[in-house]
Amino acid sequence: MSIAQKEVERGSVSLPPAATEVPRMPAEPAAGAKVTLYERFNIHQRLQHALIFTSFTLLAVTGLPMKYSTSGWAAAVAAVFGGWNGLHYAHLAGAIAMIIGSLYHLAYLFVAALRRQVSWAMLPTWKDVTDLFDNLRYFLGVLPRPARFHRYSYKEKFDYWAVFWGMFIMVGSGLMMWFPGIAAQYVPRWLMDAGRVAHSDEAMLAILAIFVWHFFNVHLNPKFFPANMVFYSGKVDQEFMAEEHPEELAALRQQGLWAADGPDPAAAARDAGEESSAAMPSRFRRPKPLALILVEILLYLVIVVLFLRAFLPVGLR
Amino acid sequence: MQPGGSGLFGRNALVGFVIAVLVTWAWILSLPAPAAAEGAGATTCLQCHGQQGMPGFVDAKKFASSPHGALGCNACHTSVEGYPHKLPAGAKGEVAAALKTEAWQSCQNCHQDVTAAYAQSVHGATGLECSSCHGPVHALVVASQSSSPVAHKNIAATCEQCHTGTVAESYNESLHAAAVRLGSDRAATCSSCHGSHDVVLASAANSPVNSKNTPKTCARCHGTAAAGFAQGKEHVLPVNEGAGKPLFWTGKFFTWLTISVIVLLVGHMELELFSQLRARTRHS
Repeated sequence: MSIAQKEVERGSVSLPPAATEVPRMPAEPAAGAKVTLYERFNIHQRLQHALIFTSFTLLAVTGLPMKYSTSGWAAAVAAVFGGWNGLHYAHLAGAIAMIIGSLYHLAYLFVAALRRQVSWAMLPTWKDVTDLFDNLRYFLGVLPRPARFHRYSYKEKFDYWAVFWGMFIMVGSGLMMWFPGIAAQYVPRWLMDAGRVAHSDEAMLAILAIFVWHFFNVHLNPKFFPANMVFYSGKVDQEFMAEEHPEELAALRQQGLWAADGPDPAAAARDAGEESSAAMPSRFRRPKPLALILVEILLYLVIVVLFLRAFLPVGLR
Repeated sequence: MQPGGSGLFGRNALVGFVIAVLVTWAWILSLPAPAAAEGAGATTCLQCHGQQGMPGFVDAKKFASSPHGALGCNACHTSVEGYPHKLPAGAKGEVAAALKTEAWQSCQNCHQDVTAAYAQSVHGATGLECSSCHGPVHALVVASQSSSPVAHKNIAATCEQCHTGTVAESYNESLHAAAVRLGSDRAATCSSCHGSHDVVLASAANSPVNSKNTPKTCARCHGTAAAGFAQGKEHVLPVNEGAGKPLFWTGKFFTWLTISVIVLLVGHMELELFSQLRARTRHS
């Protein structure tokens, strides 16, 4: 099937809201491999993510020395940027990039809405709550298989809405600090002061959530270690879909939008969440390296203990 | 005692007198040449006052490299002349105090640009001396050098020698302080808003931090400093009272949000790792 044919087919199929987002079709198979790749994130989504994560990193690196300005490492980091002025300008440059990334996303949603292609798949549903508890019970060995996710898992929805809420807090409080004279014409002074506290505290929450939770989900989780490259390529294969988004895969098949790698009983069994002894287990179901699991269990225990030692006294003060 | 030819003008008395005179001269001549002190730099004075333990000890090296190093001692210690010094009358402590007062008065001989305003300032009225802020005069460092107590980055610490508590703590938590700490020479320190030599109480009409004047003061750096911004309460600590409440409760909210979110997320991660550990035993 040529690309042009796919375009025609895509246009003719009307998708239910939960599955619509971007026109999603099997992408070109990788050269020489008999694997169909599917575009999970289009170029706009990947560019938005790239803008946000690069600016986030720069903002964290330049913002932390401001928050902990009395420590020696803060002065060392500031020196890398040529002292306070460089540090400050780099932070403002990061802020501009992050605002552009957010506006890009909003504009992208707006255009999708105009084309009646906007997806509501990111909205929280009751299934997310049941999925969470199903997953926890699976982790504990109570249920035989994990929750079956549709387009976005509850983890992804959490990350998305955490950034969405965080963006209002960070950009709002950041702009109040950047332009206090203008801000004061619209908001009372106590809100500006509280905004400074919120900027610093929400930043800390975001840094922890990203570098502990999000990095585990996309990098350190033995399932994906060292990285889930979908943020870069945007493409995933059937094995990934069967493991991470079986409900979406089933829906795509039903709508004829998924060109499977031919009939595959093992894949069908995996879609149903059953272990198939007849076929090679999916790369996600193969046992993970013991050392990696043990090191990570220990690493995150240490992190949470250090975290509580730092934060509980502040909370109880 | 028999007066046998010795008497008031006797030989023994004469010999004794001559010896006394010679010993006195020998002592005087053994002393460093005195009168040369005037106008000849500090070298002469420092032959005695440069010795550790001497009253009025001055570290010759530090003094030489201080901005006043080229001046003679008499430039400031105007009444100390010749040797032995002709000192003002009075008890030891009073003399020292009088000498000190004289020396500080000498600052205005050259630094009229600031001493006039200083005399009118609240610090001038409380009897602070130049060295209270600028550091020991004989080892003075100019403000442009980073080791000076009135260098931009050191001003807050210098003020905090006296002004402790809320005013200092709130400043140290501010973004102004963070910027100064990390090397900004523009971000506000105490004197940027309160003034330095001419500092007056905030209640005074001419104080730059009087609420009538704060819009102008803030606007020096912040362009359009609207009244709502510039006339808000400054030096607020995040405490559960008065103006501190919004900061206090914002901090509490985010701290507990962070604690609960991170603990739940790490708990979720640990459980997933645990399930992968279990899967290994099931497969093997």
